[in-house]
Amino acid sequence: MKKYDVIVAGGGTAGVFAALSAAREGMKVLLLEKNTACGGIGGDGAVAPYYDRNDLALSIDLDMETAARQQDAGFLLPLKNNCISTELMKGTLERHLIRSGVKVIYQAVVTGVEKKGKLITGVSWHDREGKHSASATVTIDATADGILLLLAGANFLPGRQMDNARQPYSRIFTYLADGKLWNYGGDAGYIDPDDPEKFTGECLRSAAGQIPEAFMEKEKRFGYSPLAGVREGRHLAGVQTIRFKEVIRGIQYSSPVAWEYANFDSHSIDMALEDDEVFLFSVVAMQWGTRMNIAIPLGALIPAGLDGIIAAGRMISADHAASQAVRMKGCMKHIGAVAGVLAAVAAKHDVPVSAVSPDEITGVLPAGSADEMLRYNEELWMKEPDEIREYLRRKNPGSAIWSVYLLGKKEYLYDLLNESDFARNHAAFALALMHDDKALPVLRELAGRRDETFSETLRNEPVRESHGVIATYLLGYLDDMESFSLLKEIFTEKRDFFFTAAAWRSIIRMANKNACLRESAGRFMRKFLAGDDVVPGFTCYCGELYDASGKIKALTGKWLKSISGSDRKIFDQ
Amino acid sequence: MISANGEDAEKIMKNFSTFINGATFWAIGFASVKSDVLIADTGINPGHEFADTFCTRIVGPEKLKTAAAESFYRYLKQHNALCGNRLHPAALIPAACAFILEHKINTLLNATMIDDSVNKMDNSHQITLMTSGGVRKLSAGCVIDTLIPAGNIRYKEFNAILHGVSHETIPEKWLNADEKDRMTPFISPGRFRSEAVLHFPCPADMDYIEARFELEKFWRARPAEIAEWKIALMAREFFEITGKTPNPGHEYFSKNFGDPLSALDAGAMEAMR
Repeated sequence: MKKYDVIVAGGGTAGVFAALSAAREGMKVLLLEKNTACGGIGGDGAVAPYYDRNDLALSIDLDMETAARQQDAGFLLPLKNNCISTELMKGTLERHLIRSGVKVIYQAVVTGVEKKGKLITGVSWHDREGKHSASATVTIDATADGILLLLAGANFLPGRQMDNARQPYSRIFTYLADGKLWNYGGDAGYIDPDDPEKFTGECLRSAAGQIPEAFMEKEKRFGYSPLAGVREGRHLAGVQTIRFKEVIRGIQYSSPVAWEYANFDSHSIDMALEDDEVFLFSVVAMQWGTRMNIAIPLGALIPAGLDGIIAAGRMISADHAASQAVRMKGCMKHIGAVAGVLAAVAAKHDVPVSAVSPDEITGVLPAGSADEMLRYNEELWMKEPDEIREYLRRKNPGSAIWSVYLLGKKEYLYDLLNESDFARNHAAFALALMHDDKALPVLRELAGRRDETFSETLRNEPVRESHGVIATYLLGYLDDMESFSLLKEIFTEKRDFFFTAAAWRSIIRMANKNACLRESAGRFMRKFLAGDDVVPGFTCYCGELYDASGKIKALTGKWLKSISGSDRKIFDQ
Repeated sequence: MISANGEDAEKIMKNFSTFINGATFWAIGFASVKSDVLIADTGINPGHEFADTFCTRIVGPEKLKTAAAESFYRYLKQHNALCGNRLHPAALIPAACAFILEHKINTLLNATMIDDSVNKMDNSHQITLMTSGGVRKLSAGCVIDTLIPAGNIRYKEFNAILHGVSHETIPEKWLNADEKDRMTPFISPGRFRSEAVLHFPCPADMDYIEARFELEKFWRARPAEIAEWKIALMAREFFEITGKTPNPGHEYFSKNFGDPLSALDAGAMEAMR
């Protein structure tokens, strides 16, 4: 059996940098890639731009080298300026891998791991030539979906609490846009890598759904990506986990080895079914677009209970909500490079990966200091009462709602309840976040008249949920018994998806909390399941109608089954 | 095999009378006629063997022998993906997906066949697949491999899809009207005027890294007469043709048919036999 110091499974965004970094530390490296090119979403995925920072020195160098090559290569350039040709990038990566001595095998599907107790000692794979295996001191899972970790017996965290759903994915194809090359990445539905049959069904349905009435020359297509544009798959249960509720409250992790710089970029439209914290932060406080620095601790790359294996990619240990941000290209490259150096340090010193200190990860640490990063985050939030109050009066309240919540200063808000619409409504939302019942009269009124006022996000786009929808959700959050009939009324009328889903969530939440409501809520929901009522759907970005009835009915059935057990708590989180 | 938190990494699937390796046009043609067939493919794009090699030419409809192939031809025509026998290759994958859904063909994508062993008791095949959800096992009465194995390649090319103003500007010497004598690079026009494909013949043992490098080098130095053409994408797989020997099962290798309609037609014909 061949012996390597480091085997990297997956030659995508993180995997290439893991392999290069380990090789530069003098390691003998094998890189196994399932497709026929490296680079992942920035290669065959044709996603040229960076959503976050590209601050890894090696990545910057490779981008610059490709940019210089693309000037006269005779390749169609990306639509957006300052973007690198993803086609030429594949060649750049390959040249550097070869020069660094990395052995690259394409069309290699990992099929198993060698184990001695909890120590992973090798990998087996299948390629065009047949079956192979090799041993390694350290293995890096850069398969994005954590397939090697799955085979190794790692633990994983759930997706969305209520239904384990992951974020929507994109069925990517490249096309001609204004005479240049671009990728279509509209949301194509929900996908679950754990379920191969459904995964297949989604891949078929989404591509078939993208057939135009007539293919046209003006926006002709070039090809379909061999990568499903999965934003979220498995989440490793790591030695340390990045948790959304901690990050949005300014709690960071010590000795970070990388930083993500992104907003919590949820592509879900059914936000009322999301984990509570996601709705409260992204919708009630309107912080969908707020970009912040998120510390990546070394422990998020290390699986709990296993040794000799490192995670590098979007499967690192971050909970479902945090992974909305912790998945972007720049950060994933950084994480890959960290994994490569971590593997090299562990292999050189013959120590478990969990015994390596962040101080030993040299050469790939973020350029900015932790203090700088955290100072940036601190400055996102307003401190001065006058500024907070002024912003709450605006259609676009900026960060004022979350800022006053973080400060816990209810007294900044009470007199705004007597002002005009935006000030009053925003103040009520902030008070509700602080569980203050003084918000209730405003919330009841907004829900009662199905208020259709819309605020704007930081990015000056309308928040998808109206004030009436937000109020409907918050009445349940505040457990307002007086509104229980109103919530049932809103649910029954099936006005639109957003009102219906918010009312459904509130009814379930209140029934869970109050034993006295459970029986009547159970009857009410059984009647809904038995009837022909249809929950209105909504149009996804790809233009398809989301089957909201199917989803709400399935969840209602699940809740009714769990009503007397502890499982019902998943509807409260 | 079960992960520490109980997630199954190995599951048993239902059995099928026929298992086909490769979601190729031959495979979907076969499975559109014959029931109780499962097709599996490593990738997510059915029909990749012609779509990802940028096939721009199909056989004329008068040569098709099966209703399945004729209906696929009509579908491409309806959606403006054909002009005579010239094809818009990017139409192939979504059209293949629609064909699979319409014919309710059992398909498993992102699933690689990693083992096929014959049970001596009943001659059934015990198939092991590696999928996105872990290992899956099933039994099948027979196995058909529609993918060309490594080795014994008679002809191989690494292609690129081009964008330009009009393929009418391409000098005659670059065009290979009947696509014979494939010794040197040539260009074939696509369905649209601004669409063409560069065919880049390469040795049978050339790998993807070298092919990408050589193609880029060749294209950078291309003559002025085709300078206005730009590469949009390089192929995601080699176009290959095998010899008949020693390649048992070569009559099922989809790429050997040269175009998607011929392959689909042959698969459907085989199922009717």
